[in-house]
Formats: sequence, structure tokens, C-alpha cells
Amino acid sequence: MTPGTGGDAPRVVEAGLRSFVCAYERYVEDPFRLGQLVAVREGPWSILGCVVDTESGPEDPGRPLQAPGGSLTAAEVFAENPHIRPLLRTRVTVVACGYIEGEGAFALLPPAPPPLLARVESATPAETMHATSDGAFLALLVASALCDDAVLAAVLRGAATAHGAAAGEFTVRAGKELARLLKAEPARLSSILRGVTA
Amino acid sequence: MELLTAGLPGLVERHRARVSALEATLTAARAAADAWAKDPAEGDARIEAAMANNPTPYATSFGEPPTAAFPAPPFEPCTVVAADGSSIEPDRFAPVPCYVLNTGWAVLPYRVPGEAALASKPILGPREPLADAGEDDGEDASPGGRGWGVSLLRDIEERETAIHLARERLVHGPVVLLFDGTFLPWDLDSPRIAANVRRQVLRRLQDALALLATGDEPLSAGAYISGSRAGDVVTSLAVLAGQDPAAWLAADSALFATLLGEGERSALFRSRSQRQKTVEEQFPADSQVVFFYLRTGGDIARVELPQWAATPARVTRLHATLVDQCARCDGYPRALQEAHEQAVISGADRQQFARLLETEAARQRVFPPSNGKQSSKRRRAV
Repeated sequence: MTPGTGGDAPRVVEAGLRSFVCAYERYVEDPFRLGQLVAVREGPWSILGCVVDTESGPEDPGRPLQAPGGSLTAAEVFAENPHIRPLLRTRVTVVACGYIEGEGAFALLPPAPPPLLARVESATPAETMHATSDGAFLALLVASALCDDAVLAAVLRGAATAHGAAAGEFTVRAGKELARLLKAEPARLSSILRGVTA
Repeated sequence: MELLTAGLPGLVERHRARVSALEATLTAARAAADAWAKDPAEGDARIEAAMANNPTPYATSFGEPPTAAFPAPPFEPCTVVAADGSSIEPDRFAPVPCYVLNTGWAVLPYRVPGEAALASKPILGPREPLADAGEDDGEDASPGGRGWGVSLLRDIEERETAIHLARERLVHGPVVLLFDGTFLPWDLDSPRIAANVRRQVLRRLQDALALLATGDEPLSAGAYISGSRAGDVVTSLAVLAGQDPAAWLAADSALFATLLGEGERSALFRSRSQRQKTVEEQFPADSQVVFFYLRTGGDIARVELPQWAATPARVTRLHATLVDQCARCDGYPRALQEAHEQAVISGADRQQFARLLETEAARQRVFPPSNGKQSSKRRRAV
């Protein structure tokens, strides 16, 4: 199963032009993965974004999760304490990296944020190829303070997979685009490329 | 504060002296309980004779020796269902008199199929004006007064919600249903609540309890009163010891703290009082209330249940589950705690509701009656 597709899709709970936060109804062990491309398809255009962070914990900050003693695994603790899971939530932070309107894919900020409570789903391989083929989508990610080197490496690895047999060509194109964007930051470029080939 | 601090040592010392003085009374109470246990029928007869024309609550035995202590049985897989409620009472300074009920529930499956559920449902009332308020409503039955019986409506919402949830979960195996407080709402006979509200609630409660009691499914039910201050049993013991109940032990918990070990429950007792009778007579005989005491941690809790649920198998399941639930939540049943967390209306929520109500009322050009004291409290300027 593609990560993040198990059960109900998360929904947008905080919306901005450059980034948004989506939350699952409950705590999930298989949320969207780091660097995964996701899509919000509600509204006049589909917004594409890259997962930059995921966090899970109690919904109510006034009720912190107590760590039990003993040797039980997490699954066993959840089974023995059925009240815990409904009190936890998983939230995912996404940085926008483009949008699709009609037949066109644009490596630009969307004209408006995604609708609050809209479903967030995995981008299909076709959407991913459409939005990433020329590497232009990297500009928004490189410019975001939320995207560190690990995120950029992860998104390039994931997008290459979507390109299938053309993965090598895609990686070369994306690498050139990244080199252009980071010509003043060679150390960062090296760090990202090491992550891509890891 | 320094004036208060000076008085604390004396206050604590006087309390210690009172507790020490109880020892002799406790010894006498235990002796009376032993005699009652040797001949429960004779003891019950003497208690019933003392009850005549006496409003004080008493207890009689219910098929088990009054001094018995039962250790906690092993916990068996089941679903625990609990409900609790919270409310925003009518505010006479509000532009529109109204109330909010919020019923929270917890459905927790332990080693049985089914998803855990924690949720709540708010209700805004009244949904319709009170008509035909009845003859015995008194001044408090006015709109916005206690005549609406908000606490009684909250109680019935809790019970209906939990009973339906419990019945749904029986497909997955045994169910233990828990309420907070007494099993039957005391306000059912309160003349301060409008008669038609009481009639309506009574019908709903009769229907809910009938639904709960149908069939012979593996369903246990109990109402849990933490830190109970009830004194039915010790009042009965005062009668048996020939003592004045007014100068005797005040609470059953003082006695059972000396009789019960950790996790043990007491014998079952039948609660008897004139007021209880006026409430219980409105229900089938098998819905009348029996109770036992349970020691968990430092707490002596009173657990009330309907007579139909007092079979050995159901009481054993209830007892084992309560001990297990309390062990999971620092001495209070986990499911009740989570239902409470779902039900509770925070101070911020109350303020937000008041603002929303004022905004909507102003939009429709409905304004609260002018009240200088209230306005002054809000302003608080120096």
C-alpha cells in the first residue's frame, strides 16, 4: 500500500499559500512519507506539495502521553489501552511546489491556499511526472525555510521512481536545475546529491 | 492569610481527635454487623421496623452476609461503555434563556473486537417552550429557572446514550456499562423541576431501562460513586446496635475501609428509604437499586446496580472490570474518566458560547435586560 493511503485521507487544517498542514482523524503509523508528493484536488485547481514534516502526539496538549513501563511493544500497549489511540493525532506539514489547472502544470505558488478540510491524497505517478519533469518545481522547495537537505533529497528520490524507466534522465535534469539554484551554496548541493544517491 | 494560618494547627488537631473517637463506634458497628451476618432475616426485620415513618435512608441485606468481602475476580475480555455529561445552566443575565447539554462517551474494547470510540454530542435547549408546567412547579419553574431540570435532562441523555452504545457492542462479546453517580437520578421527584419535564424524563428513563434489561445477554451495569458519603448501612447498624443514628458513624465508607482489602467488594445491599421508594416505584421491580462498596486504592466507592443485574455472573464481571479499570487510571474507572474528558465544557468554551449567543441575539435585535451588578462585574474599572 502506498504510504499515507491507509484508511481515511488527512484533511487540511491550516492553509497557507506556501505551506499547509493536514491532519489525520487519528494517529496513524503509516502517514505520508518524507518528501512524498501529495495533491489537494478540491477547488478550481489541484495543488501539489511536498511532505516536509510529520508529527504525532496527543490532540489535547494538556493531556501529555505517559510512557508506560514494562516490556510490551507499542502495538501491545495500544491493544491493552484502547482509549489512547483515539486521543492521538498525526499531522503532516506540506510545502506547495506547484499546481495543475486543466492540462497545464505550473511550478508556481497556487493562486489561493487549499480549502480548509479538503482531503489530501498521494499524487498519482502521472501527476508527479507532469509536475516534476523539468525540475522547475525545485525552485519553490529550495526557497522554503521548511525544506532542508533531507527533504530535497527525499523528494528527488521519490519523483525519480515515478518517472520509471526515465528515472536516470529525470535525475540528471533535476540535478542540473538544483545546481543552478544552489550555485552559491556548493556544500548544500553536495549534501543533497549525496542524499539522492544514498 | 497569616490570620488563617494561625488557626490551622488547631483545626487539624480537632479533626484528629474526632477520628480517634470514631474507633469505639467502629468497633460497635462491626459487632452489630457480625450479629446481622449471623441472622440476616432477623436483622432486616428490625431495620424495616425502624424505617416506619422515618425519612432516613437504610439498607437491608440482599442475599449475601453483610460482613462478607469478595476478592477481585480475574478480569475477562469485554467492552467497557461509559457516559458522562456536562451542562451550561441557564443564565438569567443572558439575552435568551437557554441551556447546553454535552454528553460524552467512551467505548473501550479490551481483547474483544470493535473500534474504541471517544466522542461527545452537544444539545442546545429548550427545543420548544414549556407548556402545561403543572401545579407543583413552584417559582423556579419559570423560563431560565431550575424548573427546566437541566441536570435531570443531562442524566437522561447520559443514560440513553450509554445504553444504546452498550447494546450495540453486545455483538462483540460481554459489555460492562458504567455511569457516574447514582443509578437512578434523584431529581426525578424534585418539586423544583416542572412536572411535565419530570414526566417526560420519567418516560424516557423507563424506556431506556427497559431496553437495558431486555434479554439475558452478557451485560453488566453499574453506577460508580467515588468517595461516597452515603450512610445507609451504618444507619441500619445503629438500629441493630440500639444507638441513635444521629450520634453514630456518618458514612458507610468509614466502616468498609476496615472490612475491605484492596480490590475487594462488600456484600450486596438493598437501599431503602421513603424518597428512594417514591422514585423506584415508578420502575419495574427488577430495576430497583442494590449496591455494594468497592475498595480501590484509598477510595471506598459505592457501586449501584439494578436488581436484574445483580446475578452472580454479572456482579463478578462488573467487580473484575471495575478493579481493572481503576488500576488503569489511578483509582478511578478509565472509561468514566475518558467519558468525562469528552463531556467537560471548559471555561473558554462557556465564554465562547455566551459570546455567540449574544452576537446572534444582537443580530436579531434581542438584548438582555439591563442589570447594573452584572455590567459592573464585567467592567471592573478602578
